[in-house]
Amino acid sequence: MLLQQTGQAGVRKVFDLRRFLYVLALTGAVLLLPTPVGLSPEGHQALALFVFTGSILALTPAPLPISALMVPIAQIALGIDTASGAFAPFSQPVVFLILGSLFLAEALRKHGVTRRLALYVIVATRGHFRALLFGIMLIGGVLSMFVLNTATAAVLIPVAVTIAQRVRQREDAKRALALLILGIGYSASIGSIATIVGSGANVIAAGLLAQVVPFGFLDWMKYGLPIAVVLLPASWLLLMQSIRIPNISIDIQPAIDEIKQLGGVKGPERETVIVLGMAVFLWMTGAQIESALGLPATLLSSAVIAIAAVALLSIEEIVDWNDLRGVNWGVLFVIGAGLTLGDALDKTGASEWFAGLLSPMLEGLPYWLILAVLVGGAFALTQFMNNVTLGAILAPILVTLGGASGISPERLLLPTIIAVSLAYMLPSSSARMTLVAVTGAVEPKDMVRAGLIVGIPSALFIFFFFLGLSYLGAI
Amino acid sequence: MRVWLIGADEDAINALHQLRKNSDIEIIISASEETPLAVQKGVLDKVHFVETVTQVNINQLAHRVRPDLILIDPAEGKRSYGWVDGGMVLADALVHEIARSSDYPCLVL
Repeated sequence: MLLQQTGQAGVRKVFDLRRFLYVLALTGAVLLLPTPVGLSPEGHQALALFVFTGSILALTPAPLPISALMVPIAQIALGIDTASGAFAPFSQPVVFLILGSLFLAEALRKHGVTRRLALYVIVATRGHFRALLFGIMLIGGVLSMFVLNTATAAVLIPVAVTIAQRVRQREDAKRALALLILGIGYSASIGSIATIVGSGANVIAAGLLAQVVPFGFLDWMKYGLPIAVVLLPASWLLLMQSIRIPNISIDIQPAIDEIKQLGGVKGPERETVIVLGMAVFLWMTGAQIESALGLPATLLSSAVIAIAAVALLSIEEIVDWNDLRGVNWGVLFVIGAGLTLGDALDKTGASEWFAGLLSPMLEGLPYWLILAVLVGGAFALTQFMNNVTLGAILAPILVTLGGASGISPERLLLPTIIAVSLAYMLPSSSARMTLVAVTGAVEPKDMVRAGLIVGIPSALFIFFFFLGLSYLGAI
Repeated sequence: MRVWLIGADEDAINALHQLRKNSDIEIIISASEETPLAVQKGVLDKVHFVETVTQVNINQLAHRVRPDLILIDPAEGKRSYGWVDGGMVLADALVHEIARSSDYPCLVL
Protein backbone atom coordinates (compact mmCIF):
# COMPACT_ATOMS: atom_id res chain seq x y z
CA MET A 1 0.00 0.00 0.00
CA LEU A 2 1.31 3.46 -0.83
CA LEU A 3 -0.64 4.90 2.05
CA GLN A 4 -0.65 3.23 5.43
CA GLN A 5 -3.85 1.48 6.23
CA THR A 6 -6.55 3.32 8.05
CA GLY A 7 -6.44 2.37 11.67
CA GLN A 8 -2.64 2.23 11.67
CA ALA A 9 -2.63 6.02 11.58
CA GLY A 10 -3.41 5.82 15.29
CA VAL A 11 -6.44 7.17 17.11
CA ARG A 12 -5.61 9.33 20.11
CA LYS A 13 -7.34 9.29 23.44
CA VAL A 14 -9.74 12.23 23.56
CA PHE A 15 -8.64 13.35 27.04
CA ASP A 16 -5.39 12.54 28.82
CA LEU A 17 -5.89 13.17 32.53
CA ARG A 18 -2.23 12.71 33.39
CA ARG A 19 -1.15 15.45 31.00
CA PHE A 20 -3.86 17.74 32.31
CA LEU A 21 -2.63 17.20 35.86
CA TYR A 22 0.90 18.14 34.69
CA VAL A 23 -0.54 21.37 33.33
CA LEU A 24 -2.33 22.11 36.57
CA ALA A 25 0.78 21.23 38.58
CA LEU A 26 2.99 23.59 36.56
CA THR A 27 0.42 26.37 36.85
CA GLY A 28 -0.01 25.77 40.55
CA ALA A 29 3.74 25.82 41.08
CA VAL A 30 3.95 29.29 39.55
CA LEU A 31 1.06 30.51 41.70
CA LEU A 32 2.70 29.17 44.87
CA LEU A 33 5.95 31.00 44.19
CA PRO A 34 6.29 34.40 45.86
CA THR A 35 5.27 37.28 43.60
CA PRO A 36 8.45 38.47 41.87
CA VAL A 37 9.74 41.92 42.73
CA GLY A 38 8.28 44.57 40.45
CA LEU A 39 5.32 42.43 39.41
CA SER A 40 1.78 43.10 40.59
CA PRO A 41 -0.38 40.28 42.03
CA GLU A 42 -2.45 40.44 38.79
CA GLY A 43 0.73 40.13 36.80
CA HIS A 44 1.71 37.09 38.87
CA GLN A 45 -1.61 35.50 37.93
CA ALA A 46 -0.96 36.36 34.31
CA LEU A 47 2.41 34.60 34.59
CA ALA A 48 0.54 31.54 35.80
CA LEU A 49 -1.77 31.91 32.79
CA PHE A 50 1.29 32.10 30.55
CA VAL A 51 2.58 28.82 31.98
CA PHE A 52 -0.90 27.29 31.74
CA THR A 53 -1.25 28.32 28.10
CA GLY A 54 2.20 27.17 27.08
CA SER A 55 1.87 23.83 28.81
CA ILE A 56 -1.68 23.03 27.76
CA LEU A 57 -1.03 23.87 24.12
CA ALA A 58 2.23 21.93 24.16
CA LEU A 59 1.04 18.88 26.09
CA THR A 60 -2.50 18.91 24.57
CA PRO A 61 -4.28 16.78 27.16
CA ALA A 62 -7.35 17.35 24.99
CA PRO A 63 -7.49 18.00 21.23
CA LEU A 64 -5.74 21.27 20.48
CA PRO A 65 -8.88 23.38 19.91
CA ILE A 66 -10.40 22.23 23.20
CA SER A 67 -7.11 22.86 25.00
CA ALA A 68 -7.13 26.34 23.51
CA LEU A 69 -10.65 27.00 24.76
CA MET A 70 -9.46 26.29 28.29
CA VAL A 71 -7.21 29.35 28.18
CA PRO A 72 -9.95 31.97 28.66
CA ILE A 73 -11.51 29.72 31.28
CA ALA A 74 -8.19 29.66 33.12
CA GLN A 75 -8.01 33.44 32.78
CA ILE A 76 -11.36 33.76 34.51
CA ALA A 77 -10.47 31.14 37.14
CA LEU A 78 -7.26 33.01 37.94
CA GLY A 79 -9.24 36.18 38.50
CA ILE A 80 -7.48 38.07 35.72
CA ASP A 81 -10.67 38.99 33.93
CA THR A 82 -14.38 38.31 33.68
CA ALA A 83 -16.01 36.24 30.95
CA SER A 84 -16.69 39.19 28.65
CA GLY A 85 -13.06 40.32 28.86
CA ALA A 86 -11.56 36.85 28.57
CA PHE A 87 -13.52 35.92 25.46
CA ALA A 88 -13.32 39.36 23.81
CA PRO A 89 -10.08 38.62 21.90
CA PHE A 90 -11.87 35.78 20.09
CA SER A 91 -13.84 38.43 18.26
CA GLN A 92 -10.84 40.34 16.96
CA PRO A 93 -10.96 41.10 13.23
CA VAL A 94 -8.01 38.80 12.50
CA VAL A 95 -10.06 35.83 13.73
CA PHE A 96 -12.71 36.65 11.14
CA LEU A 97 -10.01 37.07 8.53
CA ILE A 98 -8.93 33.48 9.11
CA LEU A 99 -12.56 32.35 9.20
CA GLY A 100 -13.08 33.87 5.77
CA SER A 101 -9.88 32.23 4.56
CA LEU A 102 -11.08 28.82 5.76
CA PHE A 103 -14.37 29.22 3.91
CA LEU A 104 -12.57 30.28 0.74
CA ALA A 105 -10.40 27.17 1.02
CA GLU A 106 -13.54 25.06 1.33
CA ALA A 107 -15.02 26.67 -1.80
CA LEU A 108 -11.80 25.93 -3.72
CA ARG A 109 -11.90 22.33 -2.55
CA LYS A 110 -15.62 21.80 -3.21
CA HIS A 111 -15.45 23.02 -6.78
CA GLY A 112 -12.25 21.20 -7.55
CA VAL A 113 -10.15 24.27 -8.30
CA THR A 114 -7.11 22.94 -6.45
CA ARG A 115 -7.38 19.58 -8.17
CA ARG A 116 -7.80 21.14 -11.60
CA LEU A 117 -4.62 23.16 -11.05
CA ALA A 118 -2.79 19.95 -10.16
CA LEU A 119 -4.05 18.30 -13.37
CA TYR A 120 -2.82 21.25 -15.42
CA VAL A 121 0.59 20.90 -13.80
CA ILE A 122 0.75 17.20 -14.64
CA VAL A 123 -0.02 17.91 -18.30
CA ALA A 124 2.16 21.03 -18.58
CA THR A 125 5.20 19.21 -17.20
CA ARG A 126 4.52 16.24 -19.51
CA GLY A 127 4.83 14.08 -16.43
CA HIS A 128 8.57 14.71 -15.91
CA PHE A 129 8.85 14.14 -12.21
CA ARG A 130 11.24 16.95 -11.20
CA ALA A 131 9.16 19.57 -12.98
CA LEU A 132 5.96 17.98 -11.70
CA LEU A 133 7.24 18.18 -8.12
CA PHE A 134 8.00 21.87 -8.58
CA GLY A 135 4.61 22.48 -10.13
CA ILE A 136 2.77 20.84 -7.24
CA MET A 137 4.88 22.82 -4.78
CA LEU A 138 4.09 26.00 -6.67
CA ILE A 139 0.35 25.35 -6.39
CA GLY A 140 0.72 24.59 -2.67
CA GLY A 141 2.80 27.69 -2.11
CA VAL A 142 0.64 30.14 -4.04
CA LEU A 143 -2.67 28.91 -2.61
CA SER A 144 -1.25 28.88 0.93
CA MET A 145 -0.50 32.57 0.61
CA PHE A 146 -4.20 33.34 0.55
CA VAL A 147 -6.00 30.44 2.18
CA LEU A 148 -4.97 28.63 5.33
CA ASN A 149 -2.01 26.40 4.57
CA THR A 150 -3.30 23.24 6.27
CA ALA A 151 -6.44 23.18 4.13
CA THR A 152 -4.29 23.49 0.99
CA ALA A 153 -2.07 20.60 2.04
CA ALA A 154 -5.05 18.40 2.93
CA VAL A 155 -6.52 18.78 -0.55
CA LEU A 156 -3.26 18.26 -2.45
CA ILE A 157 -2.09 15.13 -0.61
CA PRO A 158 -4.67 12.81 -2.24
CA VAL A 159 -3.66 14.19 -5.64
CA ALA A 160 -0.08 13.21 -4.81
CA VAL A 161 -1.25 9.68 -4.04
CA THR A 162 -3.03 9.45 -7.40
CA ILE A 163 0.10 10.70 -9.20
CA ALA A 164 2.35 8.24 -7.39
CA GLN A 165 0.09 5.27 -8.10
CA ARG A 166 0.83 5.72 -11.83
CA VAL A 167 4.50 4.90 -11.21
CA ARG A 168 5.05 1.28 -12.09
CA GLN A 169 8.00 0.33 -9.91
CA ARG A 170 6.91 0.08 -6.28
CA GLU A 171 10.11 1.50 -4.80
CA ASP A 172 10.05 4.43 -7.21
CA ALA A 173 6.39 5.01 -6.41
CA LYS A 174 7.13 5.16 -2.68
CA ARG A 175 9.97 7.64 -3.21
CA ALA A 176 7.87 9.73 -5.56
CA LEU A 177 5.02 9.84 -3.07
CA ALA A 178 7.35 10.77 -0.20
CA LEU A 179 8.83 13.61 -2.25
CA LEU A 180 5.44 14.89 -3.35
CA ILE A 181 3.94 14.80 0.12
CA LEU A 182 6.97 16.45 1.73
CA GLY A 183 6.97 19.00 -1.06
CA ILE A 184 3.32 19.78 -0.39
CA GLY A 185 3.98 20.14 3.35
CA TYR A 186 6.96 22.43 2.83
CA SER A 187 5.35 24.55 0.11
CA ALA A 188 2.22 25.05 2.20
CA SER A 189 4.42 26.31 5.04
CA ILE A 190 6.49 28.51 2.73
CA GLY A 191 3.46 30.03 1.03
CA SER A 192 2.00 30.83 4.42
CA ILE A 193 4.97 33.08 5.15
CA ALA A 194 3.90 35.51 2.43
CA THR A 195 0.71 36.92 3.97
CA ILE A 196 -1.08 37.33 7.27
CA VAL A 197 -3.79 34.84 6.32
CA GLY A 198 -1.33 32.04 5.56
CA SER A 199 -0.95 30.79 9.10
CA GLY A 200 -2.44 31.11 12.57
CA ALA A 201 0.91 32.25 13.99
CA ASN A 202 1.01 35.14 11.47
CA VAL A 203 -2.49 36.16 12.48
CA ILE A 204 -1.62 36.26 16.17
CA ALA A 205 1.58 38.21 15.53
CA ALA A 206 -0.09 40.70 13.18
CA GLY A 207 -3.00 41.15 15.56
CA LEU A 208 -0.70 42.02 18.48
CA LEU A 209 1.62 44.13 16.35
CA ALA A 210 -1.28 46.17 15.02
CA GLN A 211 -2.07 47.20 18.59
CA VAL A 212 1.26 49.01 18.93
CA VAL A 213 2.14 50.14 15.39
CA PRO A 214 0.11 50.55 12.18
CA PHE A 215 0.45 47.13 10.57
CA GLY A 216 -1.73 45.74 7.81
CA PHE A 217 -1.90 43.14 5.05
CA LEU A 218 0.64 44.83 2.77
CA ASP A 219 3.02 45.57 5.63
CA TRP A 220 3.40 41.83 6.24
CA MET A 221 3.61 41.02 2.53
CA LYS A 222 6.57 43.27 1.89
CA TYR A 223 8.65 41.07 4.18
CA GLY A 224 6.94 37.72 3.72
CA LEU A 225 6.50 37.62 -0.05
CA PRO A 226 10.18 38.00 -1.04
CA ILE A 227 11.12 35.31 1.47
CA ALA A 228 8.48 32.93 0.12
CA VAL A 229 9.49 33.61 -3.50
CA VAL A 230 13.09 32.65 -2.74
CA LEU A 231 12.42 29.74 -0.41
CA LEU A 232 10.01 27.90 -2.71
CA PRO A 233 12.44 27.04 -5.54
CA ALA A 234 15.29 26.71 -3.06
CA SER A 235 13.35 24.17 -1.02
CA TRP A 236 12.48 22.24 -4.19
CA LEU A 237 16.18 21.96 -5.04
CA LEU A 238 17.13 21.00 -1.48
CA LEU A 239 14.30 18.45 -1.20
CA MET A 240 15.61 16.64 -4.26
CA GLN A 241 18.97 16.33 -2.51
CA SER A 242 17.41 14.77 0.57
CA ILE A 243 15.61 11.83 -1.06
CA ARG A 244 16.97 10.12 -4.16
CA ILE A 245 14.65 11.19 -6.89
CA PRO A 246 13.40 8.45 -9.17
CA ASN A 247 14.08 8.95 -12.84
CA ILE A 248 10.51 8.59 -13.96
CA SER A 249 7.85 10.11 -16.09
CA ILE A 250 4.21 9.94 -15.14
CA ASP A 251 1.64 8.87 -17.70
CA ILE A 252 -0.27 12.08 -18.35
CA GLN A 253 -3.09 10.58 -20.41
CA PRO A 254 -5.42 10.12 -17.41
CA ALA A 255 -4.90 13.78 -16.51
CA ILE A 256 -5.62 14.85 -20.11
CA ASP A 257 -8.76 12.72 -20.12
CA GLU A 258 -9.92 14.15 -16.84
CA ILE A 259 -9.35 17.74 -17.97
CA LYS A 260 -11.38 17.01 -21.12
CA GLN A 261 -14.11 15.55 -18.94
CA LEU A 262 -14.07 18.60 -16.66
CA GLY A 263 -14.34 20.96 -19.59
CA GLY A 264 -13.55 24.64 -19.26
CA VAL A 265 -13.55 26.63 -16.06
CA LYS A 266 -17.13 27.72 -15.74
CA GLY A 267 -19.99 28.14 -13.35
CA PRO A 268 -19.20 27.85 -9.61
CA GLU A 269 -15.54 27.03 -10.29
CA ARG A 270 -15.04 30.24 -12.24
CA GLU A 271 -16.97 32.32 -9.73
CA THR A 272 -14.89 30.92 -6.87
CA VAL A 273 -11.69 31.91 -8.63
CA ILE A 274 -13.05 35.38 -9.41
CA VAL A 275 -14.16 35.97 -5.82
CA LEU A 276 -10.81 34.80 -4.47
CA GLY A 277 -9.01 37.05 -6.95
CA MET A 278 -11.13 40.02 -5.91
CA ALA A 279 -10.48 39.29 -2.24
CA VAL A 280 -6.73 39.15 -2.81
CA PHE A 281 -6.81 42.40 -4.78
CA LEU A 282 -8.80 44.17 -2.06
CA TRP A 283 -6.64 42.73 0.71
CA MET A 284 -3.69 44.40 -0.94
CA THR A 285 -5.33 47.67 -1.92
CA GLY A 286 -8.28 48.05 0.45
CA ALA A 287 -6.69 50.64 2.71
CA GLN A 288 -5.69 52.83 -0.23
CA ILE A 289 -9.13 52.59 -1.88
CA GLU A 290 -10.75 53.39 1.45
CA SER A 291 -8.83 56.63 1.90
CA ALA A 292 -9.08 57.59 -1.80
CA LEU A 293 -12.85 57.26 -1.78
CA GLY A 294 -13.35 58.61 1.72
CA LEU A 295 -15.07 55.43 2.82
CA PRO A 296 -15.77 54.71 6.52
CA ALA A 297 -12.65 53.53 8.32
CA THR A 298 -11.98 49.77 8.09
CA LEU A 299 -14.83 49.19 5.64
CA LEU A 300 -12.27 47.59 3.34
CA SER A 301 -10.15 46.03 6.08
CA SER A 302 -8.90 42.49 5.51
CA ALA A 303 -11.43 40.84 7.79
CA VAL A 304 -14.39 42.64 6.25
CA ILE A 305 -13.24 41.68 2.76
CA ALA A 306 -12.83 38.05 3.78
CA ILE A 307 -16.33 37.85 5.26
CA ALA A 308 -17.81 39.75 2.32
CA ALA A 309 -16.21 37.23 -0.04
CA VAL A 310 -17.79 34.36 1.88
CA ALA A 311 -21.15 36.14 1.91
CA LEU A 312 -20.94 36.59 -1.85
CA LEU A 313 -20.12 32.91 -2.37
CA SER A 314 -23.06 31.99 -0.19
CA ILE A 315 -25.48 34.34 -2.00
CA GLU A 316 -24.34 32.87 -5.31
CA GLU A 317 -24.96 29.41 -3.77
CA ILE A 318 -21.38 28.43 -4.45
CA VAL A 319 -21.03 27.32 -0.84
CA ASP A 320 -23.72 26.60 1.67
CA TRP A 321 -23.83 25.98 5.38
CA ASN A 322 -23.42 22.22 4.96
CA ASP A 323 -20.09 22.79 3.22
CA LEU A 324 -18.91 25.08 5.97
CA ARG A 325 -19.53 22.49 8.66
CA GLY A 326 -16.42 20.61 7.55
CA VAL A 327 -14.19 23.66 7.91
CA ASN A 328 -11.39 23.48 10.47
CA TRP A 329 -12.95 25.66 13.16
CA GLY A 330 -10.38 24.54 15.72
CA VAL A 331 -7.64 26.82 14.42
CA LEU A 332 -9.81 29.82 15.34
CA PHE A 333 -9.81 28.74 18.97
CA VAL A 334 -6.02 28.40 18.99
CA ILE A 335 -5.65 31.88 17.51
CA GLY A 336 -8.15 33.23 20.03
CA ALA A 337 -6.17 31.64 22.86
CA GLY A 338 -2.99 33.34 21.68
CA LEU A 339 -4.68 36.71 21.49
CA THR A 340 -6.28 36.17 24.92
CA LEU A 341 -2.91 35.41 26.44
CA GLY A 342 -1.40 38.51 24.86
CA ASP A 343 -4.24 40.62 26.15
CA ALA A 344 -3.92 39.24 29.68
CA LEU A 345 -0.17 39.75 29.80
CA ASP A 346 -0.58 43.28 28.55
CA LYS A 347 -3.34 44.52 30.83
CA THR A 348 -1.85 43.05 34.00
CA GLY A 349 1.59 44.51 33.33
CA ALA A 350 3.17 41.06 33.13
CA SER A 351 4.55 41.63 29.64
CA GLU A 352 6.13 44.91 30.75
CA TRP A 353 7.70 43.09 33.66
CA PHE A 354 9.02 40.39 31.27
CA ALA A 355 10.36 43.10 29.01
CA GLY A 356 11.95 44.86 31.98
CA LEU A 357 13.73 41.65 32.91
CA LEU A 358 14.92 40.85 29.42
CA SER A 359 15.64 44.25 27.90
CA PRO A 360 18.80 44.96 29.96
CA MET A 361 20.21 41.76 28.46
CA LEU A 362 19.66 43.22 25.00
CA GLU A 363 21.42 46.51 25.74
CA GLY A 364 24.58 46.83 23.75
CA LEU A 365 24.03 43.61 21.90
CA PRO A 366 24.41 43.87 18.15
CA TYR A 367 21.22 43.23 16.20
CA TRP A 368 22.81 40.35 14.29
CA LEU A 369 23.32 38.45 17.53
CA ILE A 370 19.77 39.09 18.72
CA LEU A 371 18.48 38.04 15.29
CA ALA A 372 20.56 34.86 15.32
CA VAL A 373 19.20 33.88 18.73
CA LEU A 374 15.60 34.63 17.70
CA VAL A 375 15.69 32.88 14.33
CA GLY A 376 17.78 29.96 15.56
CA GLY A 377 15.70 29.56 18.69
CA ALA A 378 12.40 29.78 16.79
CA PHE A 379 13.61 27.25 14.20
CA ALA A 380 14.70 24.81 16.90
CA LEU A 381 11.59 25.17 19.05
CA THR A 382 9.13 24.92 16.17
CA GLN A 383 10.35 21.42 15.34
CA PHE A 384 8.99 20.23 18.68
CA MET A 385 6.03 22.49 19.27
CA ASN A 386 3.10 23.27 17.04
CA ASN A 387 3.96 26.48 15.19
CA VAL A 388 0.70 28.26 16.02
CA THR A 389 1.17 27.41 19.69
CA LEU A 390 4.70 28.75 19.60
CA GLY A 391 3.55 31.92 17.90
CA ALA A 392 0.88 32.36 20.57
CA ILE A 393 3.51 32.13 23.30
CA LEU A 394 6.32 34.19 21.75
CA ALA A 395 4.38 36.99 20.07
CA PRO A 396 3.11 38.80 23.19
CA ILE A 397 6.55 38.78 24.79
CA LEU A 398 8.39 39.97 21.72
CA VAL A 399 5.94 42.80 21.02
CA THR A 400 6.40 44.16 24.52
CA LEU A 401 10.13 43.50 24.55
CA GLY A 402 10.41 45.56 21.43
CA GLY A 403 8.81 48.53 23.07
CA ALA A 404 10.85 48.24 26.26
CA SER A 405 14.23 47.68 24.64
CA GLY A 406 14.01 50.45 22.05
CA ILE A 407 14.18 47.91 19.22
CA SER A 408 11.12 48.17 16.99
CA PRO A 409 8.72 45.27 17.61
CA GLU A 410 8.79 44.30 13.92
CA ARG A 411 12.54 43.67 14.05
CA LEU A 412 12.04 41.16 16.83
CA LEU A 413 8.68 39.64 15.95
CA LEU A 414 8.70 39.23 12.18
CA PRO A 415 11.88 37.15 11.77
CA THR A 416 10.84 35.01 14.72
CA ILE A 417 7.32 34.28 13.51
CA ILE A 418 8.51 33.69 9.96
CA ALA A 419 11.14 31.25 11.23
CA VAL A 420 8.41 29.48 13.21
CA SER A 421 6.87 28.49 9.85
CA LEU A 422 9.88 26.29 9.07
CA ALA A 423 8.33 23.45 11.04
CA TYR A 424 9.49 20.50 8.96
CA MET A 425 11.06 17.76 10.99
CA LEU A 426 8.49 16.15 13.26
CA PRO A 427 4.75 15.44 13.17
CA SER A 428 4.30 17.73 16.16
CA SER A 429 5.93 20.64 14.32
CA SER A 430 2.87 21.77 12.47
CA ALA A 431 -0.52 20.62 11.25
CA ARG A 432 0.96 20.10 7.77
CA MET A 433 3.62 17.75 9.10
CA THR A 434 0.99 15.93 11.14
CA LEU A 435 -0.95 15.32 7.94
CA VAL A 436 2.25 14.18 6.21
CA ALA A 437 2.94 11.78 9.08
CA VAL A 438 -0.56 10.25 9.30
CA THR A 439 -0.46 9.29 5.63
CA GLY A 440 2.42 6.98 6.48
CA ALA A 441 4.06 7.81 3.15
CA VAL A 442 7.20 9.33 4.68
CA GLU A 443 9.50 7.42 7.01
CA PRO A 444 10.15 9.34 10.23
CA LYS A 445 13.91 9.33 9.59
CA ASP A 446 13.34 10.76 6.11
CA MET A 447 11.12 13.46 7.57
CA VAL A 448 13.85 14.47 10.02
CA ARG A 449 16.65 14.32 7.46
CA ALA A 450 14.75 16.20 4.77
CA GLY A 451 13.57 18.70 7.38
CA LEU A 452 17.16 19.46 8.34
CA ILE A 453 18.44 19.65 4.77
CA VAL A 454 15.66 22.01 3.71
CA GLY A 455 15.07 23.80 7.00
CA ILE A 456 18.54 24.92 8.06
CA PRO A 457 19.41 26.79 4.85
CA SER A 458 15.93 28.32 4.93
CA ALA A 459 16.49 29.60 8.48
CA LEU A 460 19.87 31.00 7.41
CA PHE A 461 18.21 32.80 4.52
CA ILE A 462 15.67 34.38 6.87
CA PHE A 463 18.51 35.50 9.14
CA PHE A 464 20.47 37.12 6.30
CA PHE A 465 17.32 38.61 4.78
CA PHE A 466 16.43 40.54 7.92
CA LEU A 467 20.05 41.37 8.61
CA GLY A 468 20.30 42.84 5.14
CA LEU A 469 17.12 44.84 5.62
CA SER A 470 18.52 46.10 8.91
CA TYR A 471 21.72 47.35 7.25
CA LEU A 472 19.63 49.05 4.59
CA GLY A 473 17.47 50.69 7.26
CA ALA A 474 14.39 49.00 5.81
CA ILE A 475 13.31 47.50 9.12
CA MET B 1 -28.21 -5.11 -9.53
CA ARG B 2 -25.04 -5.60 -7.53
CA VAL B 3 -23.88 -2.87 -5.14
CA TRP B 4 -20.51 -2.93 -3.44
CA LEU B 5 -20.63 -1.07 -0.12
CA ILE B 6 -17.17 -0.06 1.06
CA GLY B 7 -17.13 0.53 4.78
CA ALA B 8 -19.74 -0.45 7.33
CA ASP B 9 -20.06 2.56 9.59
CA GLU B 10 -22.96 4.97 10.24
CA ASP B 11 -23.56 6.08 6.67
CA ALA B 12 -23.27 2.52 5.40
CA ILE B 13 -25.86 1.35 7.96
CA ASN B 14 -28.30 3.96 6.66
CA ALA B 15 -27.56 2.94 3.08
CA LEU B 16 -28.06 -0.73 3.96
CA HIS B 17 -31.48 -0.05 5.41
CA GLN B 18 -32.51 1.62 2.16
CA LEU B 19 -30.90 -0.88 -0.21
CA ARG B 20 -32.55 -3.81 1.57
CA LYS B 21 -35.97 -2.46 0.59
CA ASN B 22 -35.33 -3.83 -2.90
CA SER B 23 -34.74 -7.58 -2.85
CA ASP B 24 -33.36 -7.43 -6.40
CA ILE B 25 -30.31 -5.55 -5.14
CA GLU B 26 -27.40 -7.79 -4.20
CA ILE B 27 -25.19 -6.05 -1.64
CA ILE B 28 -21.51 -6.92 -1.19
CA ILE B 29 -19.99 -5.32 1.91
CA SER B 30 -16.33 -4.83 2.70
CA ALA B 31 -14.64 -3.08 5.61
CA SER B 32 -11.12 -2.59 6.89
CA GLU B 33 -11.86 -4.58 10.05
CA GLU B 34 -13.70 -7.79 10.99
CA THR B 35 -16.22 -6.09 13.27
CA PRO B 36 -17.15 -2.66 11.96
CA LEU B 37 -19.98 -0.68 13.46
CA ALA B 38 -22.66 -2.43 11.41
CA VAL B 39 -21.56 -5.80 12.82
CA GLN B 40 -21.28 -4.43 16.34
CA LYS B 41 -24.81 -3.07 16.12
CA GLY B 42 -26.19 -6.32 14.74
CA VAL B 43 -27.15 -4.85 11.38
CA LEU B 44 -24.80 -7.39 9.78
CA ASP B 45 -23.55 -10.79 10.89
CA LYS B 46 -20.24 -10.22 9.12
CA VAL B 47 -18.77 -8.43 6.14
CA HIS B 48 -18.12 -10.27 2.89
CA PHE B 49 -14.42 -9.47 2.95
CA VAL B 50 -11.94 -7.47 5.00
CA GLU B 51 -9.78 -5.11 2.97
CA THR B 52 -8.68 -1.48 3.16
CA VAL B 53 -9.71 0.08 -0.12
CA THR B 54 -7.53 2.85 -1.53
CA GLN B 55 -6.94 4.46 -4.90
CA VAL B 56 -4.32 1.80 -5.53
CA ASN B 57 -6.43 -1.32 -5.18
CA ILE B 58 -10.04 -0.28 -5.80
CA ASN B 59 -10.11 -1.39 -9.42
CA GLN B 60 -8.32 -4.66 -8.74
CA LEU B 61 -10.93 -5.45 -6.09
CA ALA B 62 -13.81 -4.15 -8.20
CA HIS B 63 -12.83 -6.48 -11.07
CA ARG B 64 -13.36 -9.36 -8.64
CA VAL B 65 -16.62 -8.01 -7.18
CA ARG B 66 -18.02 -6.77 -10.51
CA PRO B 67 -20.42 -4.23 -9.02
CA ASP B 68 -22.93 -2.16 -10.94
CA LEU B 69 -22.44 0.58 -8.38
CA ILE B 70 -19.95 1.28 -5.60
CA LEU B 71 -20.89 3.23 -2.48
CA ILE B 72 -18.20 4.42 -0.07
CA ASP B 73 -18.82 5.16 3.58
CA PRO B 74 -16.39 7.98 4.46
CA ALA B 75 -16.63 7.44 8.22
CA GLU B 76 -13.60 5.18 8.44
CA GLY B 77 -11.23 7.75 7.01
CA LYS B 78 -12.66 10.43 9.23
CA ARG B 79 -12.03 8.25 12.27
CA SER B 80 -8.46 7.63 11.25
CA TYR B 81 -7.53 11.16 10.28
CA GLY B 82 -10.23 13.31 11.82
CA TRP B 83 -8.39 13.86 15.07
CA VAL B 84 -5.64 15.89 13.44
CA ASP B 85 -5.89 19.50 12.36
CA GLY B 86 -7.04 19.41 8.72
CA GLY B 87 -7.67 15.67 9.00
CA MET B 88 -11.35 15.87 8.10
CA VAL B 89 -10.51 17.72 4.89
CA LEU B 90 -7.80 15.14 4.14
CA ALA B 91 -10.16 12.22 4.83
CA ASP B 92 -12.83 13.73 2.64
CA ALA B 93 -10.38 14.50 -0.17
CA LEU B 94 -8.90 10.97 0.01
CA VAL B 95 -12.25 9.25 -0.26
CA HIS B 96 -13.31 11.41 -3.21
CA GLU B 97 -10.00 10.61 -4.87
CA ILE B 98 -10.77 6.91 -4.41
CA ALA B 99 -14.12 7.47 -6.12
CA ARG B 100 -12.43 9.28 -9.01
CA SER B 101 -9.92 6.44 -9.42
CA SER B 102 -12.65 3.86 -9.79
CA ASP B 103 -13.41 2.45 -13.23
CA TYR B 104 -16.91 1.64 -11.96
CA PRO B 105 -19.69 4.07 -11.00
CA CYS B 106 -18.81 5.17 -7.50
CA LEU B 107 -20.50 7.50 -5.05
CA VAL B 108 -19.46 8.76 -1.62
CA LEU B 109 -22.26 8.49 0.95
